[in-house]
Order: sequence, then C-alpha cells, then structure tokens
Amino acid sequence: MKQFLKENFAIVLAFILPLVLIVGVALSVYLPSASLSTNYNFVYSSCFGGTNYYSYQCDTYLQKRYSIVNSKIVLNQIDPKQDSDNNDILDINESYTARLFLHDTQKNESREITLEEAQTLTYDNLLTSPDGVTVSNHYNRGGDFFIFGGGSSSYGYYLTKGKARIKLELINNSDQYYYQNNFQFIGWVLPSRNQ
Amino acid sequence: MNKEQLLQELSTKINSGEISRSEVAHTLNISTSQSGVVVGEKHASMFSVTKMLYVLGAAIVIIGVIIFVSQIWEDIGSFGRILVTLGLGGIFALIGSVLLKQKPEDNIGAVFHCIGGALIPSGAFVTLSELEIDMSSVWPVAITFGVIFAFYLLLNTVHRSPVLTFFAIANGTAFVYSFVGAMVNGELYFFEDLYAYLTMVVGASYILLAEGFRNGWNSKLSGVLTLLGITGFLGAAFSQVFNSVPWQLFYFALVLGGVFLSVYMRSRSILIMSTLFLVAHVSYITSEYFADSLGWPISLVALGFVFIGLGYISIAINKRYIK
Repeated sequence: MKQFLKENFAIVLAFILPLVLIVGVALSVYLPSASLSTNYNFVYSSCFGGTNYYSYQCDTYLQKRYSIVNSKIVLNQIDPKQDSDNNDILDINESYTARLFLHDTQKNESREITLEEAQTLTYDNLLTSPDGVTVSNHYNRGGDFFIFGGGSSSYGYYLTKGKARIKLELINNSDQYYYQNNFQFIGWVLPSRNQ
Repeated sequence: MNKEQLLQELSTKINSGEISRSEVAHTLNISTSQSGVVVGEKHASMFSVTKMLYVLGAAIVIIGVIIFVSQIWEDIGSFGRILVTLGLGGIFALIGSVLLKQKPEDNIGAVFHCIGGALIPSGAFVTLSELEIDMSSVWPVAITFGVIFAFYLLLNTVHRSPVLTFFAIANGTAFVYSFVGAMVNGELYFFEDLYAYLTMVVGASYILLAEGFRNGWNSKLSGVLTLLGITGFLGAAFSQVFNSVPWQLFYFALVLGGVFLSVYMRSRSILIMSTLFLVAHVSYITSEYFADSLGWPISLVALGFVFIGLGYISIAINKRYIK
C-alpha cells in the first residue's frame, strides 16, 4: 500500500482534491440546514379554482382576502369592482377560493384548516418568527450545472436563517415559475409549540 | 526463471498491454539514442495511413449511426431507442474489449471503444428520458455519470488503454460537476463562485494526472491533460479577479507559480498558458487602474513593452529550462 501510494502519489492526489471539495460543499450545504428549526407553525392561504384557468393570477386577490387585525385573522369582503388579474372578469365572478393551511414546521407538512379554526388562533404577521426564522421565496436555477446547461428552474418557499435554508413542502405549490405568487403568508401561530 | 523465460514473460505482458514499451524503457533508463525499443515506439506513434483510416472509419460510423437512428427514431419505440443507443454502445465497447485483448498491439480495439464511449453516455440519458425519470433534479444525471465513470475505471483495470482512461476522465469530470450541482441544487444561492473553484480543482487534478501518467502506459494523455488542466485552473482563477483586489494580487502569484511549475514539469504548454494569462491579467490591471491616470495611449505603449518583456522571458525560460 505504502509502495503504491509512493509510486502513484500524483494520481491519488488528483482523486483526493475533488473529493475534498465535494466534502467541503456537502458540509457547507447540509450542516447549517440541519441546525435550522423554529418552534412556531404558520398559516398561509393559497388560491384554487376560478374561471381563469391560471389560478396563479389571483395573488392580488389573496393579499386582500385575509388580513391580521389585533393578532387575529379577518376575512375581508371583496370589492365588487375589483379585477385583480385585469382579465375583464371581476373577482367576485371569478369564483376564486382562497383556502387556508396550517403548516407544521417540525414535520414540514401542511393541512387545510377552516376559517373558524383559523379564527381561534393568534398570529404574528411578521415574516420573521419570534425565534428568528423567516419565510422567504427564492428563485432556484434548478438543474443548472456549469456548461451542461439548465434544467427546469423554479420558485420555491423556504425557511431561512442566515445562510441556512430548508425548503417548505407546501400544498398547491407546484414550484413552477408561474405559480410563484399562489402563496400568501398569513402569520406565525402564537404561542410556540413548546409553550 | 532463466533469461528466455523472463524475456518471454516480458514479451507476453507487453503484447497484452499490461506493460508498455515506454515503461520498460523508463525502468531500464533507456534513452532514445540507446535503444531500438523507443525507436520502435516512435514508429508506432507516427501518424500512419492505417491510423488515419481508423479515425476516419470511426467518425463515419458515428455519423452514420446518428443519421440512421434519427431516421428511425420516431418509429422504434422506447425499447428500440435504448437498444440503438445504449445497447449499441455496449456492443461496441464489448467488441473493443475483445479486440484489445486479442490484438493489443493494434489500435482497432481502441477505435471500437471510441465509438462505444460516444454512444454509452448518450444512450444512458436516452434511457433516463424513456424511463421518464424526473430530471428537474441533477441527481439522476450525477448518478448516471458516476456509473459510467465507474464502468470505465473498471475497464481500465482490465485493459490498459489510453482511450479508456480518456473516457474515465471525461465521465469522471462530468460526474464531479453534476454531483456538486446536485448537492447545491436549490440549497444555496451564495455559492456563485463554486463552479470557478471546482474548475480550479479539476484543473489541478488534470495536471496531477498528467504528471502521474507521464512515464506510464498513459503517457499519450499527459500533454492534453496538462494543457486542459492549466487552462482550466488559470482560466477559472482569472474569472475571480474582476472587482476583487485580493484575487487581483493573488493571481500574480498563481501565474508565477505556473511559470515555476512549467520549469519543474518541463512543460511548454504550462509556460505558454501562464504567460498568456499573465498578459491578460496585466492588460486587465492596466485598463482598470492606469488607463485613466496615464491615459490609454501611454498605457498601450507600456503594455506593449510588458508583452515584449514577458515574451522574451518566456522564450528564455523555454530555451534554458524546458527544451
């Protein structure tokens, strides 16, 4: 073995160098994400249905449909003249359904909740939770790897803290570019899971 | 073991490709002027009509296969598509291996391996596509290149052929890039310079491989690996100098290191590329910091003299230490 290493030192080193870089990248990618967690769950809304085939265009509708007042969720009435996606069909005639979801950050999974259930919860509507974790979207260049060109790029939603990120597994989030706005963050649920 | 047995054994090993003539020459410290062995190898490495026909034939076969496959592509179904790409590649590789075993002194086996080497990766991706593997992630690509890399590494242990080493290195390089791409896919957005660092590492690996192969049975790859390695290394490093003062300073050390390396490895390609990248860097520094203060015409005159000086030094180093 020693003799082999001595005779083929350059070749062995040629294999070791990329391996060291790969291990370094793996540590930088996975270690910070492994330590990222929050004790708070959050609620979000997402659009379904509508006369417009592309329900992703109801982001403005989503923004106006729910709001947080005094730490409680409030269902707002839709302006009868409002046409969020400018398609000459008023929002009240679009038959949009803005559904509500509670996301369990520990399990990274969502479940639909009723408006009544949502109204029993208390919210902090800052994007950053009380323990410093933020819900953020990010454009992902997808399958890009150097000269070999791009795969499918997508938008995704993440829990972030500093450079660490964890991808959120949301309902109705197809990751496609044109669905990037079909997500409306409502607020972090108070108190935390530990309280 | 008597003398005849020893020579017979040596002859068998050379014929089977296990030991190359250059290895024997290097071990026995035989120079070109002393031995007909090396002279014989010189003849073998010369460009011959036979080799030209091999290369032409391989190219025609590959083009023919591509045209034929494209004509029948829509009609043959998934299984047929996999068969005419991956299957055909496997068959060519198998024929190549048989020929390398039976006629190690001939290049015909390597020619078949060349055709197989072109078909196998494309066939593997056709297979992924036909199996409708989700390609939104880079992992399937990385795993595929990893398997092909392992396949060629394994073949290298069976047949000692530079063609197989070339395909191992090519697929290994693709594997490293795709593996790193798969790891950071969607996870990190602050690793913008990652591919530059990766290219520097791959370039350094190529130079090390070139050094390791220099006196072995893979010596034919040494030149091209050195050229690709130093170009990748210095080129990727040069991409970092823009708007980074530490890199601008460090890059001088890198290119000067390249010049020293060229003397150590007695490599003209390293010397030429180091000089060219030094010229490029000096041009960049001049345009960035001196064009406004000295003015372009004077900067150009100064640059011209710098180029002449670098060229002169480069030629002097080549004559004194490399030739």
